[in-house]
Amino acid sequence: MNWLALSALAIVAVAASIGIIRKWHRDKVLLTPTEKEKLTLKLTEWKASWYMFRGNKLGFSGFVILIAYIIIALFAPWISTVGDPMETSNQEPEHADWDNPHPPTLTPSPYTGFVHPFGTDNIGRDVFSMTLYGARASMAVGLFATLISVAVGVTVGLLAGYFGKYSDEILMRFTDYFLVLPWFPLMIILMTVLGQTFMNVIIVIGITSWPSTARIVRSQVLTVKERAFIERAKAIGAGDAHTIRVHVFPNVLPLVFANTVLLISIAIFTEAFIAFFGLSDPDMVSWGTILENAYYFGAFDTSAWWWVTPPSIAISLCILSFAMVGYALDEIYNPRLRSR
Amino acid sequence: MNKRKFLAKKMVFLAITLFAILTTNFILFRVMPGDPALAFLPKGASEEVIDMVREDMHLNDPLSVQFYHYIIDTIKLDFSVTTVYPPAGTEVVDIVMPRLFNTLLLIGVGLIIAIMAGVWLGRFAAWRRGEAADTLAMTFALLFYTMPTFILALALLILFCGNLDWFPLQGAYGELPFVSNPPRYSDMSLLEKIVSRGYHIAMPVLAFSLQMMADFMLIMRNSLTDVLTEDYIVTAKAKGLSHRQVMNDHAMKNAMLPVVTVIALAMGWVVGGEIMVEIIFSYEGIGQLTWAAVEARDYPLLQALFLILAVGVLIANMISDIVYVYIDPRVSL
Repeated sequence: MNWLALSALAIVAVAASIGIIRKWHRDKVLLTPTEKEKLTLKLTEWKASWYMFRGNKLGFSGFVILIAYIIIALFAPWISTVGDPMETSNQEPEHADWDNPHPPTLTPSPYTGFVHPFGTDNIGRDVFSMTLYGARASMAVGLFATLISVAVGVTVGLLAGYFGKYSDEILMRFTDYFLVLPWFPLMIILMTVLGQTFMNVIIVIGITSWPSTARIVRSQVLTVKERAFIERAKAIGAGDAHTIRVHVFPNVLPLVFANTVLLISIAIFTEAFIAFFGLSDPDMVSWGTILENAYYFGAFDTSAWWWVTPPSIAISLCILSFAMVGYALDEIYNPRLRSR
Repeated sequence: MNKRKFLAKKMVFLAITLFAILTTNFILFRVMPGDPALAFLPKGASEEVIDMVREDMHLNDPLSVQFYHYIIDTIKLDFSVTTVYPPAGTEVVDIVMPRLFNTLLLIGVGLIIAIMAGVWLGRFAAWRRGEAADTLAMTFALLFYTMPTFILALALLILFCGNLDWFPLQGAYGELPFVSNPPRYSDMSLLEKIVSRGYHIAMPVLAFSLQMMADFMLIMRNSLTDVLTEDYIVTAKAKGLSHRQVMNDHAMKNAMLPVVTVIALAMGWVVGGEIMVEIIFSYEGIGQLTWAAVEARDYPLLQALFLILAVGVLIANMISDIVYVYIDPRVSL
């Protein structure tokens, strides 16, 4: 799964960079002075947003924590003390003077030679390494589930807002219907029906979280649609597809951006408790599964705090940092919310 | 806009949504892999029993006829019998009904506390925007807003029910504070019953309402800070009105609208959080029953529960629509 995701990411990254370089090259050849002026303006705008973001203490500290999480997720095998904690050879076997779960210790274990800074769980897996690996599951879910949800939400919102009338009515009623559905029982049932794989977790979270995006996009499209440049584009014969792609979509994007960051935090939160309630893939290390194992082992009563605390703090901090970045972006791109 | 027209439109939408929910519920449990009759039966059922169940569930008929029977049965509140959940073969209605009250109590008390505290704190923070009190309130709100409900519930369970042993570990009623051998619940006096319920419900309500409260507070504060910068607030202040008058008569009325919308939209979350809290505190309600039905793979029970939860959210939405009509000055009779 990890290799699959990594290779998929690599392909997307390569394709994107090739596309960007080609476009950049083409643009450079065809650039007129007005366009150059436009680009400089855009750059200044970006710089201004960045400085505003830097100035927002809450948002920027959230951003720094986020970067730390991404680094942990990417380099988990090298940071962790035992390598992959799920490998049987990396687990600490029971011995006369070594009970599992074992409290945190900085001296290497006499049997396997591993250091367990956060102790071990009931079958000898290293809690520190599992917490690091849990970041991978969360980041993967956050990324891919949000991708699905944004794709669906933006499409529905654009179509509903741009074409209006009947398509608007039908699509928005459909969205409202999804908003009304109690999503947690729906997820439980979908996971039972579809089967417990990591892919299904991503799909289920993706298809239950798009309505808010669709609503935001629609309301923004409705205001953009009335602007003069849309009429101008239509007057010189631009088709609907072209207008949406070139004129409407870029103007909607900033608002979607802020919402997306908040969606990621919701996706991570959702993954955690889907896993906590044992509906996720049992072979995938995630903060939720660690907590689930601890809960069923009774670590909450036997005061095996080292087993419970790291994943709990990891989830809360991760969601907090995403929320802080999301609110900061919202404040920047949504001028109504700027402190006056 | 006309008030009656607005409500009529909402009612039509409600009916359509209800039908859509019924359809979803029907399809969801038909697309499951395998024979539904086998899924509804314990392993090792004889051929005759399977045939009987197939006939009973109208599985031999085309889908449209099955759907028709499903709708008719649902209207008659006939949700068939449980297959696994003990005791197997009980009418689903008999299992669900006593638990429905427990859940409604938990949700009702939790929501009222969350809305009142959230709105009040949001108002408090907005009025003191930029001061230390505001920063403190916002920090707490963000903290509780981002803390997953199940982790908060676990923390409360360990601390107050486990280590400190101030509150009972599980159940919706039964124990009494400071009484080591409480009488049976059915033998208690009314006061004792209320005390016992309150004793059991305190921690679940706290776990469930803190996140809601933080959510409502953030929205209330945002909405109020927006309103407080409007020109008519300056006018009101210039007229010499007191803080309280400005707040109550001019700011709150306009700021409440988005809050009501958010509260309505949060109903889906409310159900989710409530289920988590019930499972962790072993509170005998709909949420815990949903969980038990999932664990036991009891599909008739699960189907009925999903319908109940969806209809519950729908009703809550309808209530908020009606409230909206009454507080929005733009929608008039």
